[in-house]
Amino acid sequence: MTDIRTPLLVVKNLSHRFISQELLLDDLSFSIASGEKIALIGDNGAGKSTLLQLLVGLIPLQDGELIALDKKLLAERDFVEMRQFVGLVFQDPDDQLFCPSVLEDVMFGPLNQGLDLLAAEQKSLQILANLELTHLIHRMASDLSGGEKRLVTLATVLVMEPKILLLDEPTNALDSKAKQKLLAVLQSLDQAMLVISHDLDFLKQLTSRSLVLSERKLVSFI
Amino acid sequence: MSQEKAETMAISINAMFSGNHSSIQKIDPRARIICSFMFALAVVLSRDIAALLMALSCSLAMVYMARLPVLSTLKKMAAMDSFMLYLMVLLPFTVPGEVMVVVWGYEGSWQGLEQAIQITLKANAVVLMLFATVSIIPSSVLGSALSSLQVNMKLIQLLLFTMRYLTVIAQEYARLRRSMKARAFVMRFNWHSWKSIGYLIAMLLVRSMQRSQRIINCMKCRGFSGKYISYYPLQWQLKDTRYCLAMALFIMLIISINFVGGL
Ligand SMILES: Nc1ncnc2c1ncn2[C@@H]1O[C@H](COP(=O)(O)OP(=O)(O)OP(=O)(O)O)[C@@H](O)[C@H]1O
Ligand SMILES: [Mg+2]
Repeated sequence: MTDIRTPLLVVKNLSHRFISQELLLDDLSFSIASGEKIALIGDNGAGKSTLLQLLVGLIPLQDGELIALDKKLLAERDFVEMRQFVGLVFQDPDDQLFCPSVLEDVMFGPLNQGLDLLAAEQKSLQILANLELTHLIHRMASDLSGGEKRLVTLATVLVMEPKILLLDEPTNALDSKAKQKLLAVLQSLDQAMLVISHDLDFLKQLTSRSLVLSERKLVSFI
Repeated sequence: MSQEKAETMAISINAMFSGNHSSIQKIDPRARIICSFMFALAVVLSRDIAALLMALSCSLAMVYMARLPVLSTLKKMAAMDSFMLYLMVLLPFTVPGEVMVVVWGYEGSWQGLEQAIQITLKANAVVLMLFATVSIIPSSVLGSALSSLQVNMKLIQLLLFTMRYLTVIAQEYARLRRSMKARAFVMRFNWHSWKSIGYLIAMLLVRSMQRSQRIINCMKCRGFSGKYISYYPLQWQLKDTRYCLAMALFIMLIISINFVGGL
């Protein structure tokens, strides 16, 4: 069934090596179709977070090809464009939340997309309401609990309406109740997702297939 | 932006002023920033003790009106004034002039004491004024206010980022300190202690650098292209003009006392 859907993002023969280190990723190829929810599994240090950053051009591509919406990504300009529809949620929320208040942080993305203040605010309030975070809008990000920060980072990315969500260990620092809530939210979304997690139970409930990163290579499971 | 919209925004801004609903907080932040800046300038340039005493009483009145928490304000002032005490003791012996006391053959001058008192009065007046008027402005509103005062955008961003990430760095510091303590580290006056503290500071710098790289990456992912848009519309009202006029009159009074030479 996945074959009929158009691929949003295609990765071809991607390899990566950090300076003066051994080869980390060796000849990876895979694609993400629209609406597809994929798990990315692998040991600590296997290169999962590195792969996500390569996909959105935060680490320069050394070897291989990236094609997004049928367009080959070459220069930084192409990546700037593609980041409009690929949302990355980082491993550490403190890296992502930098505005004085939660509302402003969520508004940051839409404003960059060219929305005016009013539209950006309304959209942000809507997303925050969907995630039941309305009571936090005027709080400072640094005062939030780990779990609250997680959900807010998700809001900052969802508000930009990405076609693909890249989530780096979204269940980190969440208790089981918060995890259930996150799971419900993610299940209700139509977007394609690539989810890194060590929580196999969570992945089983959310995703339809898995990519396993092991000894530099990528193996695919349905 | 419509009037109605501006009002709902104003309400939400007010909600942010959690804990402070004083009359000072209702004055437009821009008015407070400009007036406090002019006030500080006038105070710093004043030499007349009577003028400085007047300025200090004005600051105290503002602190009262701003309904600052007494205890924590006193604590902060005590930290500064303990340093001022030190000045009071030292300055008489370093400034030449009419002899006030002689200690172990060193002469302390009246002029030195006068200078120390001046500095103390100035510092207290300026800092209290800033506490009462500027420090209660939430950082996001401060950003908007500064940008509408045509302050350079890069400077504003730097200020806001510093405010946000100082707490993160402080938390990081606390975490590192805790992990040192957990491994039985006790600060002593020896080589091992100093070396460990050195590592701690170096680690803090490394982590801050790595973090700043990650932050800019996150911002890029959300479409950041070098322009940070600030919001929270501010509305200048009649009471803000009144506040500015009153402050301007008071500042002129302080300046003129200096020329008349005391009351
Ligand atoms: N900027 C960098 N420079 C050099 N080496 C790096 C850099 N970033 C990551 N590495 C190394 O690359 C390897 C993979 O790191 P990465 O963060 O991608 O792992 P991961 O699969 O996300 O692990 P985890 O499950 O622990 O998050 C690690 O050995 C790490 O030390
Ligand atoms: Mg990782």
